[in-house]
Amino acid sequence: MAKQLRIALAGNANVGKSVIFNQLTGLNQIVGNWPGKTVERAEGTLHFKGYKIRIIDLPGIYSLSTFSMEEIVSRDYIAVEKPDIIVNVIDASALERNLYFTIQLLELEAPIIVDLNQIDLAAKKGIRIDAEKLSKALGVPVIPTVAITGSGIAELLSTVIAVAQGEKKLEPLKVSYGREIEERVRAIEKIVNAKLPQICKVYPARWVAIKLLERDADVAGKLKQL
Amino acid sequence: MFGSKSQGGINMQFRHRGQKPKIENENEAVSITSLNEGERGIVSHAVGGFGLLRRLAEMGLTPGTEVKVLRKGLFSGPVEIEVRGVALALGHGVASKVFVKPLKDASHG
Amino acid sequence: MHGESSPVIIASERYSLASKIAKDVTVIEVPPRISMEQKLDAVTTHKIFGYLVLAGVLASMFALIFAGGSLISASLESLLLNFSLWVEQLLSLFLPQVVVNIFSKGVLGGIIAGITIALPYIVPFYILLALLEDSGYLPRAAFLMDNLMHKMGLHGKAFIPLMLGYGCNVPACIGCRIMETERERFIAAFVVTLIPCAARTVVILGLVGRYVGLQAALALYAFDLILVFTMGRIAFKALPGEPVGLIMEMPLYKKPSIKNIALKTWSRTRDFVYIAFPIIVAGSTLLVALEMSGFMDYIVWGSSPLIAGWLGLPVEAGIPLIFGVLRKELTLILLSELVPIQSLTAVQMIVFSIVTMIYIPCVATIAALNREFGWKKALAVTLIDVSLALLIGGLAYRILSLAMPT
Repeated sequence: MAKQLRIALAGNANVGKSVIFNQLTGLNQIVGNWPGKTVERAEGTLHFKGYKIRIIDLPGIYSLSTFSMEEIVSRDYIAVEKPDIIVNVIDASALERNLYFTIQLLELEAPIIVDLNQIDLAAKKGIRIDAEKLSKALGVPVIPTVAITGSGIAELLSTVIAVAQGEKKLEPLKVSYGREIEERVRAIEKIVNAKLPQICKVYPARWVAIKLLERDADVAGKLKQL
Repeated sequence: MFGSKSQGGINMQFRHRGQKPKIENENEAVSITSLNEGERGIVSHAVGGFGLLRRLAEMGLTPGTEVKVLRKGLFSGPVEIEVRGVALALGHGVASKVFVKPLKDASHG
Repeated sequence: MHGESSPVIIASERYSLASKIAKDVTVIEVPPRISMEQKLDAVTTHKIFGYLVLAGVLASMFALIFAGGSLISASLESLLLNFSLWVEQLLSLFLPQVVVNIFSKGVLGGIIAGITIALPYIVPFYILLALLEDSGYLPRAAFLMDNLMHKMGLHGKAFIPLMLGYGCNVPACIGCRIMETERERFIAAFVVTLIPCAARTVVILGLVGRYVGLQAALALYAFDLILVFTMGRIAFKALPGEPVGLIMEMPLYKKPSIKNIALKTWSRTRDFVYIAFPIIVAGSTLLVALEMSGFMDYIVWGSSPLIAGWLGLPVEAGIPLIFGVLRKELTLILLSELVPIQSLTAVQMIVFSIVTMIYIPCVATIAALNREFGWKKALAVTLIDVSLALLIGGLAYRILSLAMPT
């Protein structure tokens, strides 16, 4: 009986995420819609080192705010379904903009490892990213890949397995804000912890507090329902 | 370079090839649409609804960010800017709502 | 609060962190020269050349699809025709003729139509779409077209589904998902249904283009564009909500991977088959049943005031119009079977083409609309399209009859 893993691919659009997904799943993929929503859902499986790995390709999004259905679907999947590992695919040629999303994943306290993709495009721009350094800064493994050639994919999978088996530990960076924001976040976090324990089972209290400060309509709506 | 400062005072710049002369005053913020191709600016603020401001911020257009105009579309078309290492196209309406403090360019092109 | 709202500050601070980390780990190795990709970028978004390139890309895309499609279609057709005849003969041996007809003409006929008529065009279509997507060209097209799209209250990205609509409305409707809000998606999808897909183009070119003249056919396409923009504007004003401006990343040009294109095409084609085939088969079967039961005669008789009185067409033309909804590609064939083409006046041909061009999107499109927007909106679009087609058709009949007495 194969051991099972559930992983999700998350990241901006145009980073080669679907290429990674295709490399991993090939024809073993089903494309449909998220239930009740017109957002595409791509799922596939692959077998690797004795594991049966189910992979979901989350929509390409820039942020976990609630501007669009794609964003809500992604963050709900991450928070509610709690996949074992989230592979955050980022574009080495647009690192800063991609890290914005990575930071939001860290705030959601999701178990992530980073796939530093499109290093070939970055090289064309004259940019090289020190993956080791990035890994230390973020506190999670960073694997460089060139998805269209398949380079780095095997290492990516090995790392996923290693983290799942506990061989590699995640020490994710804790994101903190400037003093004024932090004060408010902590105050709201206290209230959320005290008064709304049900939501804390799904979403981290601190994350809820930050989202409320961001005037997130979806989170506010979910709280109202409780 | 992030955070580079524009020079103080009023500079009259006469450009060649029919580009309009620009008054660059440290305190005057203009909308991105009034920059020419190749010019840079520092984001000062944006005007608009909450949703627009948030979308702009998420794409990296926050106060203090440097942007460079890469291309302008035909007839009040969209503006393509470079921000945080990424090329972003803004529709003319959106671009006209983003205000920047122009930077004096030492180099051309 | 501090001159900026908290969401913007939070975003700012996140970006500061991102910026700091990125700077720390980035090494600029070679001062970037102007790369091939940048040169390509400059040309494809150029104020003049950009549009020429776009026109060229679109023209070659459609040329390839039509040429390749008709080639594949012709070869498949002869193959499968023999097969269906063989099945018909086999079944006739032990089943009553009625049932055989319903099965072979209806069910089998529908499946064969899907394979020989839809797929040979849809598959190359999806291949080229995936190619344009993966290479990074589409945002350039959206950039060039943003201004124009604003006249409809949409933005540049909407150009893509509109363009797709000329091939087939089904992927075009689904393609409206690239618009960010429900409202914009719906306006785009509504407008897409007014774009003449390949099946409708066959009628326009085969009828007006061939018998009245190419200029007349082109005039119809131009008229259609004006209609598209007008209806877009009206929809934009009618539906509550604010217009959303274009904020779109322009990624670097990339060499597309064949494997990725193949996989995308495969999964999209499968999606198309799931939506369209059941409907085509159902529609085809319904058509045969109506034909055989004699019900069709009633429908024709009932619709004659509209067809003959208002539109000025021969009564029999009602059949291809009404049942063309179920099998759009049969429209011209049905028409020529029932009404000798030569007997139609130029005005009648034009009116027929106009109605075909604007009215009900085919049932597969309605199914797609239903999936994307729900049955109420799908129904609304259908009714509006039919009413519009009848209205304009009738007006065209009267105005053109005055301008072009036969």
